[in-house]
Amino acid sequence: MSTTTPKIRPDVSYWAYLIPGGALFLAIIVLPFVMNIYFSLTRWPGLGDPTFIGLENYTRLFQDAVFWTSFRNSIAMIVAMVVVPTLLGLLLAAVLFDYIGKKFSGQVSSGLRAVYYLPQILPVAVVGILWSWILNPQTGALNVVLRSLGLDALALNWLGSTDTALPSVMTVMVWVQIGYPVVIFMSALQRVDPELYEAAELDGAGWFTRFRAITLPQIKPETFVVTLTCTIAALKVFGPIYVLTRGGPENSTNVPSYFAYQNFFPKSQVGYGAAIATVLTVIVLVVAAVFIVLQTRSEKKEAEGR
Amino acid sequence: MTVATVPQTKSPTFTANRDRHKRGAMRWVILGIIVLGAVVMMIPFVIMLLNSFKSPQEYSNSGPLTFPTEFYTQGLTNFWTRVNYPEKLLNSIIISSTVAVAATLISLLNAYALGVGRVRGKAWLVGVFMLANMIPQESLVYPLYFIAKQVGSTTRSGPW
Repeated sequence: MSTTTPKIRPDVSYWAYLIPGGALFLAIIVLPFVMNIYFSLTRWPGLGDPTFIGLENYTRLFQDAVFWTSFRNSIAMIVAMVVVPTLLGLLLAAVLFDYIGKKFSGQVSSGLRAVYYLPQILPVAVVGILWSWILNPQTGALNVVLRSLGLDALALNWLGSTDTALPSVMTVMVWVQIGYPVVIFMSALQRVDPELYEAAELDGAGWFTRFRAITLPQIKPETFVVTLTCTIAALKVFGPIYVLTRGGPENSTNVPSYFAYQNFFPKSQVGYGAAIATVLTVIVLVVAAVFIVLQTRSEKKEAEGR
Repeated sequence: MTVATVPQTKSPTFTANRDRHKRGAMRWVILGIIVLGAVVMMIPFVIMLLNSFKSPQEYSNSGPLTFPTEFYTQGLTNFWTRVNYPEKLLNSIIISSTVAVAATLISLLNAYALGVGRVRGKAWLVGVFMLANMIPQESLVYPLYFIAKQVGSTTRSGPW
């Protein structure tokens, strides 16, 4: 008796501390989320009463070319926000830490790290204004430079033409994102036992061998975290699209979250927008689940291997 | 370990052993490449700074890459007054400080229950919180907007 009472009673009283957070969670996340699913089953311009139409929005969605374009652009965003920054970030972090840091000094490498990180501290709106001004076809810095070099043929309408808009946005995103993996990977490398590097060096391992045999396996957990968070950010990307291109020209840079926003507010097709948002949510949750399962599996494998 | 004597390198053919002692031209090449990358990263900032103190006439005459001939601050003043920047700043301060204080208090309570209290289903609760953080805002925004409209808080008065 004396062992069971203290076990149960604290448990019950501690639950009370979860009430404020839980109430807000219900009101701000669960309730809107459920409402959104209901809206996705209706036709509704945002005023008056929603008309229940079942799964019609979803069947319409899967036949909508813009919807498929937006998801193709999501893949482009994953390339620009996950694949390229993670690969470049790994390389940069390893060079800064294991080469510059040793052959010059730690100060040189952390100074350079700060420069690569700088775009990360800019608000999205500032990034958008800055780049849409640099890429402006008439007065933008890029085209002014190209013209002054006599390369008039290369002075394109970077954000305004269907051929160049997506690559331009992708370039901007690489510029924005690169600092994040560099900083995470460099702090991860500080955790790695320096004796591993010294031993490998004494055994005659070159820089690349050390990178492959020590750096990559040692910072695997951080690589998982970076790719997971960046993939989810890439799937959800909205701000940069909103400030740079508004999804245009001709939807060539449209992404699911901007497409949902277009339907919610400018087009007042709330039901359709809600359906897009629901599909996006399902995809994000599935991607997150796959990542976490893969990570747990690889951690288990590693634990068994030792 | 680090003071291993220099002349006794086991395999002199490996450049890696020599590079350990901060010698060789290769390290300058690598540094050059990394610095070049850093310069490319900085270019947009430099262009922004160079041109924020130019008058519109000077910009159209001399282009974006010249050094400003005068310290033109009218642009900043115009922006400040046209968009009523103090109001935006006040909004931002109100929102961020409310969020900071409220979020800290609520997280404190949650963490107390989960960390100190170790309530049952703790892992499950943390998992739900994590998933909730991943939900795209688009699937919450319209209902939240709708609720706010019903409550009547979309019309702003005073600092709100």
